[in-house]
Amino acid sequence: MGLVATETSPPRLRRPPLAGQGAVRRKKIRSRRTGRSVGFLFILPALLFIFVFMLYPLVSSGYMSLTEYNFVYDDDPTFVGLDNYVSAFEDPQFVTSLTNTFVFGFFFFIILIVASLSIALFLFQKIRFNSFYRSAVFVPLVVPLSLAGLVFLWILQPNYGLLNYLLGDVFNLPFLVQPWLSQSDTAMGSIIALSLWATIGFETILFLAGLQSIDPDTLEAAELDGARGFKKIFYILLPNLRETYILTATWGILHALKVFVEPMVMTDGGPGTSTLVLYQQVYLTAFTYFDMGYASAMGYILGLIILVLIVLNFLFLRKAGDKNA
Amino acid sequence: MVRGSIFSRLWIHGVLLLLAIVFLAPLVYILLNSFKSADEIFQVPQSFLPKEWTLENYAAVAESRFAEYFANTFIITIVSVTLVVVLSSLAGYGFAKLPFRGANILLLAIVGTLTVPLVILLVPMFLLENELGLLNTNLGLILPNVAVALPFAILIMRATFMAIPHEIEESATMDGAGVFARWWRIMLPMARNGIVLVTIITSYNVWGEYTLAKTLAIDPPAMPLSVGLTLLKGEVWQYGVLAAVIVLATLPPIIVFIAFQRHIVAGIAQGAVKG
Amino acid sequence: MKRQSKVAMLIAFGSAVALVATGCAAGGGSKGESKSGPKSTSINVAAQAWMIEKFHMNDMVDNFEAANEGVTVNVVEYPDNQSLSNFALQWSQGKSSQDVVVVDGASVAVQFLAKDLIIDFNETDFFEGATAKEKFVGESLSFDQLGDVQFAIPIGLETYNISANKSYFEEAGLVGVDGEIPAPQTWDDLYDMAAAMTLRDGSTVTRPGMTIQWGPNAVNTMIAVEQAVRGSFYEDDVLTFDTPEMRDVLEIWKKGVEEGVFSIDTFSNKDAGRSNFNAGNIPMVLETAAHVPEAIPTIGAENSVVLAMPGSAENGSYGFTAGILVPSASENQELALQFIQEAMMSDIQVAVGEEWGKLPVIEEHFDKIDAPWKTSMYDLVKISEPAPMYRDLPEIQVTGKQLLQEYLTDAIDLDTFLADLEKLIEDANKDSE
Repeated sequence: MGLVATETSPPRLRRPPLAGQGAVRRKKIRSRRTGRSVGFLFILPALLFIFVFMLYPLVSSGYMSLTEYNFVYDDDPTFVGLDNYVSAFEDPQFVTSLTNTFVFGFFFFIILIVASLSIALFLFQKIRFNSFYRSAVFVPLVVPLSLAGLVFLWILQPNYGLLNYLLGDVFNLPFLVQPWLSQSDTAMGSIIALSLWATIGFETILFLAGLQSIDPDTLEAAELDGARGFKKIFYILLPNLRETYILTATWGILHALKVFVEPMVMTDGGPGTSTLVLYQQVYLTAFTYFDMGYASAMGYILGLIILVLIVLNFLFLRKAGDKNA
Repeated sequence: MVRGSIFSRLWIHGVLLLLAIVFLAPLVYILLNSFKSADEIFQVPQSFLPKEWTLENYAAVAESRFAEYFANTFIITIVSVTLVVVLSSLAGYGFAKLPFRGANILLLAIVGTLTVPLVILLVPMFLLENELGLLNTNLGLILPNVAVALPFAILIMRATFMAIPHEIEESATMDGAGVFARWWRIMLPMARNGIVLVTIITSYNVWGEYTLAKTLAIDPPAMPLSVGLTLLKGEVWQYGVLAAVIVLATLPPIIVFIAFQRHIVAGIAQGAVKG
Repeated sequence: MKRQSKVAMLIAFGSAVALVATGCAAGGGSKGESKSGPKSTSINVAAQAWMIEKFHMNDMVDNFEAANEGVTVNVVEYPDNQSLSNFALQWSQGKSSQDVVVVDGASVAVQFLAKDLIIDFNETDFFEGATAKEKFVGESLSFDQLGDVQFAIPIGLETYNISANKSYFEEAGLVGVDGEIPAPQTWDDLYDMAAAMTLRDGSTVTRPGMTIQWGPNAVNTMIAVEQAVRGSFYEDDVLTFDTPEMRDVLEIWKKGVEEGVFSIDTFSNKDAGRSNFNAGNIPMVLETAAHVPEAIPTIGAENSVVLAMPGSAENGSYGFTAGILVPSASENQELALQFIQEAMMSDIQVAVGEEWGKLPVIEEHFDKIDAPWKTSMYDLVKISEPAPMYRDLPEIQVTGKQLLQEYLTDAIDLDTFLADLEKLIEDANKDSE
């Protein structure tokens, strides 16, 4: 199963959407000539890095998730099988933080994809000041997330923050003035806003790259056929972006469900538990309670959920693609 | 590419301008506040422009090891990005053009490493680096950063290579070029858009990386910016100092980004289609 | 074809070798700077950045180096308490890059006792001469003590109480004929004072009368308030908040939140109260009273005063210190102890107390302080109590904070809040080792 076929969409519209497939079949014949192991050798150096610095810690923490191990108090881990996994679902903190993660992820992901795709479509137009607009959208990328969180925390302060000042004093809309981070709904909203501010630029780059690698001939032909405006977007541009979408969605899902820095910096999970996300609960359990076994189990559950969503997203798109073809 | 009426053009400009303001406003606000004294920052109601421009916040940053942190971040980012670009172009090519038994399972496993929160990997990583003597070294941050960045980079490069028409490589094979020579001379130049994307995303991730650095660099001289700057916090963040820190940490990449913006976008645009 | 695969093999092999080689090189590098011979002449002192500034640690180092020729002390900064778990990981491998560590909130050090990662000062000859036990202020040593183990030496004594900005009280006509703010006897009194100083514009509150620390330290605030109003936060030797006195306080808190008299900005920004107080934007803040000296440069010595919260004059409050500890894995313990004794416990603490309200732990130094708040602070510090040293205290603090915020924002009612909190305490591991 190929997870992601191409991020730059297939060059020609007339081609079947999964452009890779034909090539793969032909390559198989050839690969007998070059030797099957050559491909593996190309991958080996990268694999070595991943193996040492990701796979080993993964296996190690995978084992820990099956044990009870407080790394400050216990000398050795005690094997407890799947106990940690079972007790997670009986733990209200876990359930709450998982729910919050989904709430955040749902709104963040949908707005992220729609907004960055729309912005990419705007920026795809040949208009003046285009490079200024592009720079403006991409610039938040270079601000480290933890610092961006502090900036937003500051802007959203009730009395000396910028937002309330703008709403209350400049635009004279005092009824909109809020203690943004101290109320459940607006706190979650603020965190989503920061995450979007920080990530839309990156996703826009990916979409823009996809748009710009659409064969100009295809576009021209479509325009001659009278495809304009929305018609052109829906019938020509979007279908050609499907492969790009697989990439942006994979990234979006990862970012949506692994959200952590934003709530940690801005609300510390509060008020109450209303912005406590699963990643932060894992972090607290690991480094404040030192309960490595349970933290690892929760981490693995989160990892599994993300993996399933990524695979589902891919399968869904491939199916949709087959239907179109 | 798209022609439209004057009306729709105005509309597009309006939306884009609004977006540009939303994206830039927080940074401009920080820039202005970095020149305000502590008293002025807490003034209610506030003013946008500093009433009295002061450099005291920058002076506070200058007293720290800012240059050292900056150098560390710079080295870590450059080396990591180079390694990721090379390794992911190799691996992406392998996955895209040289399939072997189990390649897809392997790819899934590689992507799978991304889904687990990094925090639960920190303790094994720490112990490993402690064993190898890599703690508090730039290399000790480069290696795991590369490992973390590689999976997504491989996805991008694999996709890029898959989009390159097969015929081009075929003709090179006819000329008798070996598989490595084909990768180096024919395929790599054509995968430019992928390389640009990988460079952007890896720089983005490594430049601001915090979780790994916080655990693996606990000695100030070894700290990158993201962690080192938190040492300036004091018991409470002095907002003016914080603003200066943010400006200094983000200005260099912003300048690089704006300077190369045209090339970056052009690089992406010259896709695999053209050969 | 053969050649091709050879090339590919070469790349792979080359990268592998490079990887291993760089790893080894780095390993060699760090080993090169390992400790010198048996007689140590250099120690590393790890502290958070603010401690170095506020405890005047560079002066301590200068004095110590001047008095002991040939000795060097390196002060190494670390960002926050999470770094301690990294230190501890290294200690558990039998190594330590630190010889002295200053920790924020000494009670976090308790956890390192479990595996004997830090030394017991009672087993050394630290408590002799100038640092004999009877020279310490009040119960301050007990803040860093577990059973008969002295796991850390306190430094920078602080207690929770109200920091008040007198100019607001004058404005609201709340100052007595003697020119002093009358201490509130009950929480109702305190609420009325805060309400009188709350500023409204129509129906919106533009300035609350008081900020109470309801952020990450919310449980400490509850401990402080309960100690003051009730004289203890234990019942049958177990931490409890379900007491009639506390119920009254909690109801007043809720009312204050609803009316906007008590601000809730500490929910997301734990420093909100302190920042506002230092900027002169809030009449009262209930958290560490160390903000009183700290705010003097901005709001003036005549305006920055300690106000005893209800009951605290008789019963005390919650007290805490930073802690100095020595890792068992340190190879320079003798010099480390000498540094703590001669430099850190020196009269440099006087200036620290006057500037930052982080009070001296040695009686003799406390006496040297010259500040209007000295007596009231001293009386309070002497009778204040540390938090219980439960193994699961961190969990009680995190979850307790969440529950309190839910109660104050009306997500749960008082009975549910207290029931959940008591359940949390009941289920917690209250061992200390």
